[in-house]
Amino acid sequence: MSAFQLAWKNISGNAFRNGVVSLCALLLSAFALFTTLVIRGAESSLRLTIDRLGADIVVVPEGSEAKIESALLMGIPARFWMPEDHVNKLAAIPGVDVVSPQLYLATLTGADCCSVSDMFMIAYDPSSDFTIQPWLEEELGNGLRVGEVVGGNYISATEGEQNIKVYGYLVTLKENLEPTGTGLDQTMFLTFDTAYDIASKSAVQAESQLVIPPDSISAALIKVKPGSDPQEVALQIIQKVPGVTPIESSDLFQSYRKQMTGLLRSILVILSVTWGLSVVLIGLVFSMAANERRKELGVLRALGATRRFVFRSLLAEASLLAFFGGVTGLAVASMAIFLFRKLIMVSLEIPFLLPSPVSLLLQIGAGLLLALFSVNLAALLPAFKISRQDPAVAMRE
Amino acid sequence: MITLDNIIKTYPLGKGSSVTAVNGVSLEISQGEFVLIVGRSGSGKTTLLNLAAGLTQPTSGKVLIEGTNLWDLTDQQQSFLRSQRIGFVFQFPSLLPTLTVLENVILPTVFNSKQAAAQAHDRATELLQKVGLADKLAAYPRQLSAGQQQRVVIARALMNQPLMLLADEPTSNLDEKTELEIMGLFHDLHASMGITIVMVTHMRQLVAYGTRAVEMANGQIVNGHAN
Amino acid sequence: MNKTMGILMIALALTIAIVPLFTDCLANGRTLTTADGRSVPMKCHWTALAEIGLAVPLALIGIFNLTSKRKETFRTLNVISIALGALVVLFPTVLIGVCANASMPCNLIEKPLLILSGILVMGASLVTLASTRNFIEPVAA
Repeated sequence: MSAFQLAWKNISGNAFRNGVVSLCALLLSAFALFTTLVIRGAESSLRLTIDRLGADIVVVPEGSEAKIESALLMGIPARFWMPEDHVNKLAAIPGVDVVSPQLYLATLTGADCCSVSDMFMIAYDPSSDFTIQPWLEEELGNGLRVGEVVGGNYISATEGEQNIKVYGYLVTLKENLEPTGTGLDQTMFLTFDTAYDIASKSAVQAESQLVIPPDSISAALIKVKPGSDPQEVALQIIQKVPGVTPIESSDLFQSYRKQMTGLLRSILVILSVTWGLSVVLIGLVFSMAANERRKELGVLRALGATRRFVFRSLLAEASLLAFFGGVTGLAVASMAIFLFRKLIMVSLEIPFLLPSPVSLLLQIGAGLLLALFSVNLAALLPAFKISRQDPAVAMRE
Repeated sequence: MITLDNIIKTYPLGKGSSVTAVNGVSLEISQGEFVLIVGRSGSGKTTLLNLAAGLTQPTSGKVLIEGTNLWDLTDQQQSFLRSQRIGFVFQFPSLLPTLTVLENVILPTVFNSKQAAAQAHDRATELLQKVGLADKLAAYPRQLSAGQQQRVVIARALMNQPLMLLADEPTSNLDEKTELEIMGLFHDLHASMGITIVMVTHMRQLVAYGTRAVEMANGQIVNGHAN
Repeated sequence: MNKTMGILMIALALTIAIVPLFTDCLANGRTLTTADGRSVPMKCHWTALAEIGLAVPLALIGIFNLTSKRKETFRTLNVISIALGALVVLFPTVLIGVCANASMPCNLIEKPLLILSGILVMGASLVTLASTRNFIEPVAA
């Protein structure tokens, strides 16, 4: 029997005390994993969305910045308009490579004609679009025809095989995009032609008409020429195109970023307090346990165990408890985050993307190390004290 | 074998006061003896046994085991000496509750023994047979009577083939019938193995089992031969 | 360990029985309108009701884990509870299901909660089975 086997057998005694230590390790590691996954998930989601947009600058009507952020991040439909001829003005600005206009629409809420409710729809111009169109050509070999749509990850067909009814009009879902963890996952993408077709037929087919103001667009996505400075271009846009706000992609989602920084700070405070309290509680439990077991530990010393053996044996017990508690906590937290990811997004109002398996394993490893470190730290002083105790004193009544 | 040279042991009680449990005791125990140290509660006999085993450091005086001063050794050396030379039988239930009977007996080999696992297993089984518990190898201490537990403790004490057994009131928690059985076992072990036994007890009637008796009172030897 | 798992099992059984009734679409005011104009609950509601049928035996098994003293009882009951835990997971996913739309309340809370609870039931049962390997039955007086 080795020292480790002895520690393993010893932890089966006093289930309550050992349970408390394991529970502390469980809660600590679960909470740490949850917070790191949520924060990092939100960050990677934002980055992916910005990459997905592909734009260096997004131009929206003045005052609509918050609406477009909500639409892209949370899928909350946005409706705002600016004159279509802004496209020409923007294209004329030096440094601008491509200008691609978009229309932001929404499905009806709870209408009989429709199988989805309150969904964000983005209509794009295939002749100038630089994100969806190239992707479609790669995936399907051609762009979308009239009546065809592409959906975010959560969009699914509800009418027959591949069809969804919007405004009384049956569209065909051709493909789904990879998940981003943002509102884009609940967004439907269609061409301008399809959007206008739906609008014209909705007067007859839908409960209420889809109105697209004539000669209007909602936003314009801009790609700058290689070597040009997006900031310079943005300044020129402000000067030359009144009534619009250019948002550089690096500035996109600023309000959410600020929200997340605030959230991160609060979470770190809570985590630190939780950690401190756990270490103190575990230390107390270990002190109690070591005191109750002093006779037993005195016997071990009498049988030939060195002080070092007793010390190491107690820390081995602590490590085993931390390991079991930590592994359980991390497993439960990982499952919970995976299963409740949608709820996390909706209730915390943040975007969220699950990490890659490698990244997840690394974070789980870090969580386990935290549990092991914390429990051993808490057990250090009681283990040291009891191992140094005079065996005869330890065995006294 | 064991020499205690003018040992004094004082325990501090706090607020500047102290109690002297052993007050200038000299005692020599030779190989093969079965010495009983008798005395009332508080006479210092348990403290004397603990001093002999190196379980507590004397305030002054020397403890020599086979000529070596115990307190000149490091903790590691002392622990080695305890595991290889000395077997303990305690007054209180000293088996680890989370280990089986067999595992409890094997326990001393975990610390310092050179015995391989299989060897240790065989020796433990043999010892348990010797003390009449061959059918209880897989039992846990809570499934045994007090007398049976004490037999296991004796088997454990013999595991590393020690030169001496130190027993602190080994029968005080037992009924009369079991006490006689346990004392009989000690007697047989002494007779068959020639092992040195030092036993502390408050029961004078047990001195008949030993080769020598020493009486203690108020931390000093008052009767019996010191050597 | 058995007592801890017993308490956990009872808590999970209560969660499985009660929470879905408050987190299905019916509880959040959403129903399906049939062709003849009637409002009927959607399948997430039937899943919630079916889960009650699983929660009751699970709670009983939890109580037996607290009170039983026989190794065979633990073994038998916890093998059954593994099967029940699997059904807790299968009802909202494969056997009955919940609504299709990912943002409906049943998808946000009811379904993930049931899946997690089912997995925890199976985990608790496995732990109980493992810990009764060396179970020592009390000796009759």
